[in-house]
Amino acid sequence: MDTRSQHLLFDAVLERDLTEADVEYIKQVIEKNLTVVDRIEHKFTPQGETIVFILSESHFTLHTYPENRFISLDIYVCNMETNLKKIVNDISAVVPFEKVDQKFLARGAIGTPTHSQHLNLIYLVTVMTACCSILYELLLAQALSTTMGNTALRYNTTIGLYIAAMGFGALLYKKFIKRDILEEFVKIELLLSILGGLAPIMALVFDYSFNKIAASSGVSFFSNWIQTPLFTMNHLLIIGIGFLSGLELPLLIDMGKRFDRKKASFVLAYDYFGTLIGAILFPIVILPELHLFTIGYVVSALNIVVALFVMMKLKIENKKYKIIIFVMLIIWALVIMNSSQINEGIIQKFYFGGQI
Amino acid sequence: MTSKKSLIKLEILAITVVLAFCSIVYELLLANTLAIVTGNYIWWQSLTIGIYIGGLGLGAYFSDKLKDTYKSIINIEIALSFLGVVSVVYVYFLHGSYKYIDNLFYYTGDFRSAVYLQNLFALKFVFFGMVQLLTFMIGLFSGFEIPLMVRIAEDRLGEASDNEYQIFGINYIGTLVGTTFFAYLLLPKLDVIKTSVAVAMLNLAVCVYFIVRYLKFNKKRYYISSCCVLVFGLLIGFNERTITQTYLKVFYYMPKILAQNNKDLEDLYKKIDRLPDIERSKSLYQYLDIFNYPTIEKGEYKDATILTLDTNFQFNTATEFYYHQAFAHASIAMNEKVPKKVLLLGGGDGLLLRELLKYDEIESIDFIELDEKMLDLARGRFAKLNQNSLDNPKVKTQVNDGFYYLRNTTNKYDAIFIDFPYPNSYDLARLYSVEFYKYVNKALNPNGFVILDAPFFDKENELKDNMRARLMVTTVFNEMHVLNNSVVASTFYYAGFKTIFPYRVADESFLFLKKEAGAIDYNFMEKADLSRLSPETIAEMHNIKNQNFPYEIAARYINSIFKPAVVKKNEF
Repeated sequence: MDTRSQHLLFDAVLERDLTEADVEYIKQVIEKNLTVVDRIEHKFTPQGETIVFILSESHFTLHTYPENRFISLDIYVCNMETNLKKIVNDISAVVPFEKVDQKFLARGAIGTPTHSQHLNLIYLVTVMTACCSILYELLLAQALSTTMGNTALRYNTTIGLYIAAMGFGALLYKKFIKRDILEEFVKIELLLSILGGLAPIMALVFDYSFNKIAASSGVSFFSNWIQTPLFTMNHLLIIGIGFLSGLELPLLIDMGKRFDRKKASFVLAYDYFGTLIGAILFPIVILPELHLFTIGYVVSALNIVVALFVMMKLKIENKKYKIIIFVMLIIWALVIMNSSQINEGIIQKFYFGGQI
Repeated sequence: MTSKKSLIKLEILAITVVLAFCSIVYELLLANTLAIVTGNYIWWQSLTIGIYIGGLGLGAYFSDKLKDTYKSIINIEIALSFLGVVSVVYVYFLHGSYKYIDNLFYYTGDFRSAVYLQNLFALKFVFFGMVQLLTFMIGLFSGFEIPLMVRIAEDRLGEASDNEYQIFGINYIGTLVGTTFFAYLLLPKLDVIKTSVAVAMLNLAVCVYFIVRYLKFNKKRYYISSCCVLVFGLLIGFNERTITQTYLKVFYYMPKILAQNNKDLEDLYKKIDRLPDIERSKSLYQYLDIFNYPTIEKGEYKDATILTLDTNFQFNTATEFYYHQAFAHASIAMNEKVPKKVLLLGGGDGLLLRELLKYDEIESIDFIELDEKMLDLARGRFAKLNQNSLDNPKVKTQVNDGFYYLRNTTNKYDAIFIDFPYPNSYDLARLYSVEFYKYVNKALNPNGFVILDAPFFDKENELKDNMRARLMVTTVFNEMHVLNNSVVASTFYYAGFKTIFPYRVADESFLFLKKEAGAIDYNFMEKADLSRLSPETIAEMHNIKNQNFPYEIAARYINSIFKPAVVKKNEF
């Protein structure tokens, strides 16, 4: 059990007299943001009130001194995720304060061993996943410049779309990720490794299929009827990878927040460094050494290993994911070992269309 | 109250979009300018985006060190607009200086020292470091922007939890707008200096807005700095032509003139501003540069013009006849039979077409050229030189990508003439790939031949070629000649050409390919009809039999579009 908790001590003097409605509103805000399991309320004569809520997160207390326009409020939550500032913000949106004295305390740390090695793990994972993501995109840019031509345009549009799709991923993060963030992270890594690892081949398959469609329907391959859907599908690949990578970063930040709320923002910086490493390795080391498709298999396998590493280190118990990971690793190992024949076959089929 | 707040929010988001737009356009301008001046596209694109993002990361990491939010963002914007204004000029300046130092030894004709300097890592390293320092600074300052905008939003709107996400999101959208704008609107007619100044001015406008709106005192200092950047930007904007011309003149004239070692020419070109201007135009695919380059041959002053594509030499009007005659007539002589149906890929200048049309036996020529601008030049400026060859009824001209054409055609030809630029970028290396030549093979009749002009180096001329390499011949395959030859030969061999006959005429190398092995009679010169050739070319062609091209054929050398052959390292 993680005993680390947040404790808010909040004293405030109101601008005007305290009303019943104010107290009701504060209670509503607590009910909305936290889970109340039991409540005790006591009114003193002639005035003043003490309210205690037992929360599934810990406890909440409120003392009012209407004669002084003063309230004293305590919120104790036994997790590091709840945003106490937001609760204060919500209250002050309706109850106007003249003077405020608030203290945010971090408590319970001695009950749980330090998590610094866990935070370092998150940083390492961030660097690795960011590196994989940019490699997928660069691979795809290279594959698209072989099927669509014009290297300069491909690199520019790929990088732009990648960054934008990452942005949308980050924006829609709250909508997409609802369940346990650790399991969601593993799921996203698996999706990303499948999509990213196969993207260069998919670009070829799209090209082949549309050539076939053009040949069988008699429409010119260069007409808009063929080029527009082909263009769209190729760019959807870029957007898909970017979007999943965009979900990945807030997930990592939230995972970091579990261990240390303040240092979690450094995850962003580590993400940038991972991108830097990938972008430098690609032209200097990777592209001259390996076949375009093989790079995809290797990076994808690496990504899966990262997911497995996270599952083992953070003790995520999910049999289904573990089985998928092992199956995929075995498949990639076989594919990488026989990569030259497989790549040759794919090129024969989808690039030459079996003509040569 | 709420409407006022939403107005403020709109304002903050709008500013964020503009800032993100400016920042990514700077990065793209730098990456593309570097890619063009150095000719190594993927290397520079990837490194520049990497270093830029690394800078963003460090900026985000250290942004909490900035104490005063408003002053910091104004300082950063002034710095960024300054860096934006100088970016392209700085790259031109550095690359011009680099080329100048790199060519120093050509003054003395000391080729060994020159080759030493060409391969000197330290010089390349300094160039790389100085150029990428700018990229890094732009990244670093841009990295401060988002956290600062978030702070401004918190300051003005209170701590609403969705501010942060919205600023992130809108920032990414600005990046998308910047990239799309750049890729589709700017790249085709890249006027890099003017763009950099215009974007920097937009950035400066945001900065001035900040000063007016948020700064309470000490405004004067910031106004003065902004004015300095404005004046500087206008100076660069209005002198754009002079700057570009100076850079181009250093780039084009210096190495060539110095290599001439001729007193008269040295005097003629001593002052850079007395040099004739370089006519630069940009098509969808490449920069086309045309410039005068007078030569002195046998004591005679000759007026001549050079055309380069993306700064790579194409032809010199005074000497092109050697090349095109050796291309057309030598190959037909080797084949011993004039082809009937001919495919010509590339060669948009129409000069090779002129030579081919000298054969009445040729019935039709399918002519595929990618760049319409080249055809315009051939029909206009070079029409006299190519004797209006494009208007001949035998010629069917088509504007198309040669690769696409071959992939989708069912036509068969007796001869395929391939006149492409040298493979000095990944994009062009596709045209020397095993995939491309498999399609060439498919479109060729069993007895037909393929002739192309390719970078192929012979033993005797190694040093000369090393010098030429910097002037006109560069490939991405490798700077080691044996390796380069092996890549080219192995690629053709595995594409199904068992006869590979390289020859060299007037410092240009050609490769003659046939499907079956041993298809060449080495005494073709005696048997052939050489009446269409000029005596100078015939004299040069007598050397063909004595030439020795070292190469090795092995699968590991194959250049494929899916596994590009060895990237030329450290080549700027």
